[in-house]
Amino acid sequence: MSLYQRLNQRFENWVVSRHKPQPPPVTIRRGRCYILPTRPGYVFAFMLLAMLLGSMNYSNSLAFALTFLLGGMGMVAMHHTNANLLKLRVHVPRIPSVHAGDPVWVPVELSHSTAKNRYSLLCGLKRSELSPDSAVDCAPDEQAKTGFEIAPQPRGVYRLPRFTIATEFPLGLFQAWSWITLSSEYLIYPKPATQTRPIPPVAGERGQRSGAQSGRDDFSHLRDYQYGDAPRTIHWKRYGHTGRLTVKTFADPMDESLWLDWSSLNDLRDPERRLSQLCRWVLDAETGHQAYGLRLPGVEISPSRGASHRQKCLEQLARFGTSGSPA
Amino acid sequence: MKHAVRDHLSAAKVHRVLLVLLLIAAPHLTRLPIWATALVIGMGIWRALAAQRTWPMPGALLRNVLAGLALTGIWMQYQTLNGHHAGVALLVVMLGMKLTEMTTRRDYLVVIYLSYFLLITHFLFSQEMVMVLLMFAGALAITSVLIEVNHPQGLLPLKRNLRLSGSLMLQAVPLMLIFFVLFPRIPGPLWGIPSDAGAGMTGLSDSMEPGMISELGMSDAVAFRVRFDDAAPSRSELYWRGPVFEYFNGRSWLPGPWNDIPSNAQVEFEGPPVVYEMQLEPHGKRWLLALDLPRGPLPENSSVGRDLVLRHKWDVIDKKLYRLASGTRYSADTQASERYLQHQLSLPVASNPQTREMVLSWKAQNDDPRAVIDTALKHFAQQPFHYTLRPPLLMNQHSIDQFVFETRSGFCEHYASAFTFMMRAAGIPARVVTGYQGAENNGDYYIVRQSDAHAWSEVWLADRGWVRIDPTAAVAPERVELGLGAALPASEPVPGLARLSRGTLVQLQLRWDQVNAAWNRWILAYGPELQQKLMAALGLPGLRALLIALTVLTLFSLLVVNLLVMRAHQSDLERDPVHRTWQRFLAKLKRAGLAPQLSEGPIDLSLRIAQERPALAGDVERITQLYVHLRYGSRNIDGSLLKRFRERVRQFRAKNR
Repeated sequence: MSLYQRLNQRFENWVVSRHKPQPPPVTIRRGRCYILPTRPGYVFAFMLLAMLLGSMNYSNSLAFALTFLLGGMGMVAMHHTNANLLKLRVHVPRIPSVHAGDPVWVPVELSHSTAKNRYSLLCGLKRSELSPDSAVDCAPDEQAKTGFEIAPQPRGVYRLPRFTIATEFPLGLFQAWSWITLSSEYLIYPKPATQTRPIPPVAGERGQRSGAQSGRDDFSHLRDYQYGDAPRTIHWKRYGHTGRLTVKTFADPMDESLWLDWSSLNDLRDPERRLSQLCRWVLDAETGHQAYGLRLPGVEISPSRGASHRQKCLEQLARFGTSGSPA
Repeated sequence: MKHAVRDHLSAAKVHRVLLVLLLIAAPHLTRLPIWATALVIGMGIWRALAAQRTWPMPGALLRNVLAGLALTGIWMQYQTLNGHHAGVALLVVMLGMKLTEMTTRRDYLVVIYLSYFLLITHFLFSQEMVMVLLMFAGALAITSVLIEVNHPQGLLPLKRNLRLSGSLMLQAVPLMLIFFVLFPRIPGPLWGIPSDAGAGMTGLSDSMEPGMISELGMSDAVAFRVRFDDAAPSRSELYWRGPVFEYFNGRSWLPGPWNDIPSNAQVEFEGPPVVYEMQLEPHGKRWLLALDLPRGPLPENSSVGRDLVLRHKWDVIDKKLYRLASGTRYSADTQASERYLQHQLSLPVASNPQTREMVLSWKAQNDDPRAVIDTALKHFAQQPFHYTLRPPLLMNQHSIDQFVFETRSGFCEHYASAFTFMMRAAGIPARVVTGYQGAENNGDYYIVRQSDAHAWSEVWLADRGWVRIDPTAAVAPERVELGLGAALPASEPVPGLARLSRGTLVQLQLRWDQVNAAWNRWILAYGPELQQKLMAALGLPGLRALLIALTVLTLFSLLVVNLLVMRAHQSDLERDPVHRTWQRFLAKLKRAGLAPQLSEGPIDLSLRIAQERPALAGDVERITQLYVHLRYGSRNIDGSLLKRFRERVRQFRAKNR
């Protein structure tokens, strides 16, 4: 490890020790704003040195003046770069969960209530991963939306890692940055198994009925169409006669809903593979418009349907075995 | 081979970069060979169109071939890549070539940094006052496109961009001034100066042919300015010594081979020295003009040669400011060696037989050198010789014969040349001295112009050493007494300022010259010596004091910049005096353990404190009432009320008792 890297590491450790995770939004304060020259900044300094030597060689007063003017502008620009970042409010709304194997997109919202426009704000996980192409501007009292990606990770619950808000505006000679440590979390659902196997019948409280297609066959009665009903349940013949949309409902008693059960997958040794399979089933059951429940050791979610139910199940799968605390 | 690389900048931004580049390069384009100018402008136009129509950039092969051709072209044009002109041509042409591969952020930065560099090269060619405007305008323009490169998501409105780059520049001006005055200056070049520096500057030449000085006579340009410590010597004593010529080839006078050898000549001066300060305009040659003769102490990096000419170590390519003492009455080099004097007698064999014959006949009448000199001067005065700026050309092989016996009209160099020839023919060591004669008063200083250029002779007499003889004075005494304008017939055109007329225009020009003189004296000549003097005058001598002053002032002005920037970035709330005072009050409460709760408004807070700390109730209530009144009462803030509010908060004490 080179001296530079070691110093850098020390500095980062010191910074980490100062940063306690906070709930969003946070405002970038003076003491949390760091600034260093960029590579073009060093090149600029080198150019100024060459200009200075040239001015000395020719004892040229105007050349001296220009060299010092540019040097002064470099120093002034440092303050402008720093101020471009200060008092910026950084907010991270809910981070959309993804399945293992997909990158996480962390949305970041920037705003401020000072008089000056903020330009070319960069956002990224690490300082080395900032791309000038993704820069955003932020006008007073308006919200600038940006964000960054976190590389695919295994299933689990994660604390949002420390990320970077930076800027090199106006001259690109200095980079001012702040590390943002938030207490936000995000979930990585299991990756859905690709080889899907049929959901095994589970011994329900009333015997063998709980199985694949049972809820679909036993016609119960007709009722009016409601938004969200599957097209295939519509009684089209009746629609032809009456002009009203009616829906066939089927007997769908509790014991006939699907139970997605951890213990039904005893043949899979690897718990992650079991969770993958359960995940697949959750997704399939949801797209199949079936009510389903989830049983994990120590967890039971009673059967239901819908996006929020699916999310609840997937969340349990993501959290399973992580004892609830962020990884 | 074509690449389609996504451009870092939009077409509008590329056009702005190109426009700025054109602005910066324009003054150079006139100096470049025509093909290079055409190439660079062509490249710019092509790049502008390419940005608009999203043409692909040319492949590496084509680019390298083009760059190679351009390099070869410059080499063929200048026979070198070193030197000011070739160097600048190279820089401009390579910048033009760089446009064909300008796509990434890095490329744009290279182009912009090179533009800054190009801007500084202008000052190698001119440091006139107007160049300050070019410096600020150029720096502003380049910086504004640098800002655009750092804002790739869209073109900033021009006004906003200029306000940003302008404020960056204005805030940097104090730093520039501090560094200009206090950055330690060191004397002299670090690595030498290219030989072509100063090419094209006007001034005396390092050889003398008939017609050379009369050309200078047509120029109003300032050669130097001089400021005498005491009264100026009389005009007829103002002979400014420039290059001396000791070798005659039948047509031209050339310098002797011993110019660089420091003088071992004994010079004895009579009378007090004349002390003065010279502001010499660059002339591209090494001599430092001095009142005949310099008597020291000499300026830095200069020496007096065997020919008694003061020379700088390097070519004078920028304005020089130096102090000097001279003696106008002297006896110089009375002990000159026989061998050295022999050189001052050499003439081309069998040239100008008529003149020789005449001189020998004078010598036969009276052998005394002084008598021969007198005869020669009388000859010029009594025969119909004319003093003119437009003498007929001397095409004859025996040019001096032709002048003395046929044309009989000439400028100072004709007379100096003929007279020196006569002296040598008579066996009197003699040489030609060129320089300037006279000076024009302007306020507290004198101007010497190129039109004051003059040539005269020096003869060596055993008892007096080198003695100045001005044959022109024999023909046209007014030249020496009154100046060129008076000496020439009224029908001859002379530069406007040489005639002693005093129209408004001339007055204005002289005023302007005073401004220029101050610019030269204080800004352009600012170097190690002036810096030391200034610091001594401020009571801060020495490098240490200089560095401390530089550091302190730099930090101070950066602090001011920081405050300015922070103020500009304050939120409306932070700017509001009522809010700020209220926050100060809350901070005091917090320190006393009475921090307001999140949901608590000012009135609730005051009620709670009244309960918890009855001792504070009165103060808190009054402050809160004032705050509520100021905040929610009326649109316009009442000044006296605000003052009272501030005062109350300042006096408020909430210590735990």
